[in-house]
Amino acid sequence: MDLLRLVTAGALEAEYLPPAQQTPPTRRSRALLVITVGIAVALLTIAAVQTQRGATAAEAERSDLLARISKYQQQQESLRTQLQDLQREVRDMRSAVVGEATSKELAAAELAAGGRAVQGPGIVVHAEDALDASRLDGRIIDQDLSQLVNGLFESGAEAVSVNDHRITSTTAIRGAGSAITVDYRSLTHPYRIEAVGDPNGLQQRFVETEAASWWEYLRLNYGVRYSISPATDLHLGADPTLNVSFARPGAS
Amino acid sequence: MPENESPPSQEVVATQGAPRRSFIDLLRPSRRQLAVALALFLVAFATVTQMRNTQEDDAYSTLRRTDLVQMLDTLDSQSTRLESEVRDLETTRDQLRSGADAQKFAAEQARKRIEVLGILAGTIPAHGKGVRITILDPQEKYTPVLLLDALEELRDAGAEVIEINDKIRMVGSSWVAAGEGNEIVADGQIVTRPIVLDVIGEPHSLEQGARFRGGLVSEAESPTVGGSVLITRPSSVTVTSTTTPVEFVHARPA
Repeated sequence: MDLLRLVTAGALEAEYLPPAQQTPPTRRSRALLVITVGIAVALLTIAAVQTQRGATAAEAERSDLLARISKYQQQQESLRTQLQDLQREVRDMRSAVVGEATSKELAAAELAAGGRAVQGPGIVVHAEDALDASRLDGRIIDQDLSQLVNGLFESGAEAVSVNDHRITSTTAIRGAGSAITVDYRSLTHPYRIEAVGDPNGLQQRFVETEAASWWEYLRLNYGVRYSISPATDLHLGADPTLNVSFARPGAS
Repeated sequence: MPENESPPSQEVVATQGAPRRSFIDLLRPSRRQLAVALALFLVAFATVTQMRNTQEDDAYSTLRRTDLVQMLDTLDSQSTRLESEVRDLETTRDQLRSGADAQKFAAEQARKRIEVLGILAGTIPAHGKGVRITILDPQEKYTPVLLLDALEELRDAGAEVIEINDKIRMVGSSWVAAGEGNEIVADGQIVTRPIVLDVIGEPHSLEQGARFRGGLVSEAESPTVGGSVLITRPSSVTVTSTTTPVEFVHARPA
């Protein structure tokens, strides 16, 4: 009974009593409070500083790497433009001096390899990540795009480009993190895949490819969006980087 | 009459007094309110900063440090390649411009360029440094999708010429698909097992590309496929098969 009485008597903490009835805080309790708060603040600060320091070292290295990557990408963009201009210049000068036969042969070779811009009718595939992009599954990845391009060639496309990057025999469609790269250049979504060829035939054959089934699967299960539409006049740029460093002509 | 009016007016004052007091309170917050405000501000600030940091994480946020370094390596070699191409073209242009023997030089240049384009378009045989990759797939579980991935990986690693089973030349317009049963078809031809890839390019990069985590080798040797991969670096890889370029019916030079 004593315990119960004690509990009920002390149920209200001193702080809840009217000010007049409160006992003024003693100097000791105030000092204790200051010390406790001080220690808490110090601990929090130390923890914060340590986390921050560790993070900044890693973060600094990371941002340095990212900065170098973007510097390279910008540099390569300007190199590509320079290359394209030089190629046009050299082509014009060359065709002015070599015979017509050689010029024609060269033009045909460039066309076949993808070193020449082309135009013509075809189809355009618009592809975009799922609306709910937080779902990783709803994001289009490199393999989805390379399958799509593969399916378009299987359907008889004469030339294909992805976000204005022409696909040739050395073009790699790869993933780098959540970004897709074509010839080492990051793409930004939405994706626009253009294929020159007979619009009706391309569309009819494409729906029968595995690529089409795969994209249909992505659409139904993950909400990935894509649509195919015919186009009367597509313009596909050339690949300015067509060259070899290791391959030599002829069978040794 | 004035006596009658006074009580209501007092009421009005009383009801108006409450909002006014809280307004004054707003202007003169107590110390405790200030402390709470400060704490809220700090929490909000930290949250926003955190969110911004997360958002600033770009497209490469999922990449690990090693991936970034690898990417930088690839970019570095690509830059070197582009730079040397620009230099070559500048030399060519200058020589064409100089006029001396320009005609002979131009003819030679044109022939070289036709050869390079022919190698890339797969219309002429080629040889050079590279790798020979043999994919043993006794259970025939290797799929067309895996082969397509492998091709993209090799291209990413700088493959210039790719040939399958000494007879199918893979170029830009090449495709792979599933045939009947477990069959793999490339450019309309059946790919028999074991699958042998002859690849011309920088051998070290090519092998690295194939052995990269999650790449060609690990896919082929995964439990689902149960295959094995053999990579050799012959002194010279010879590719004799050629392909007929896609006939341009609808595409014309722009």
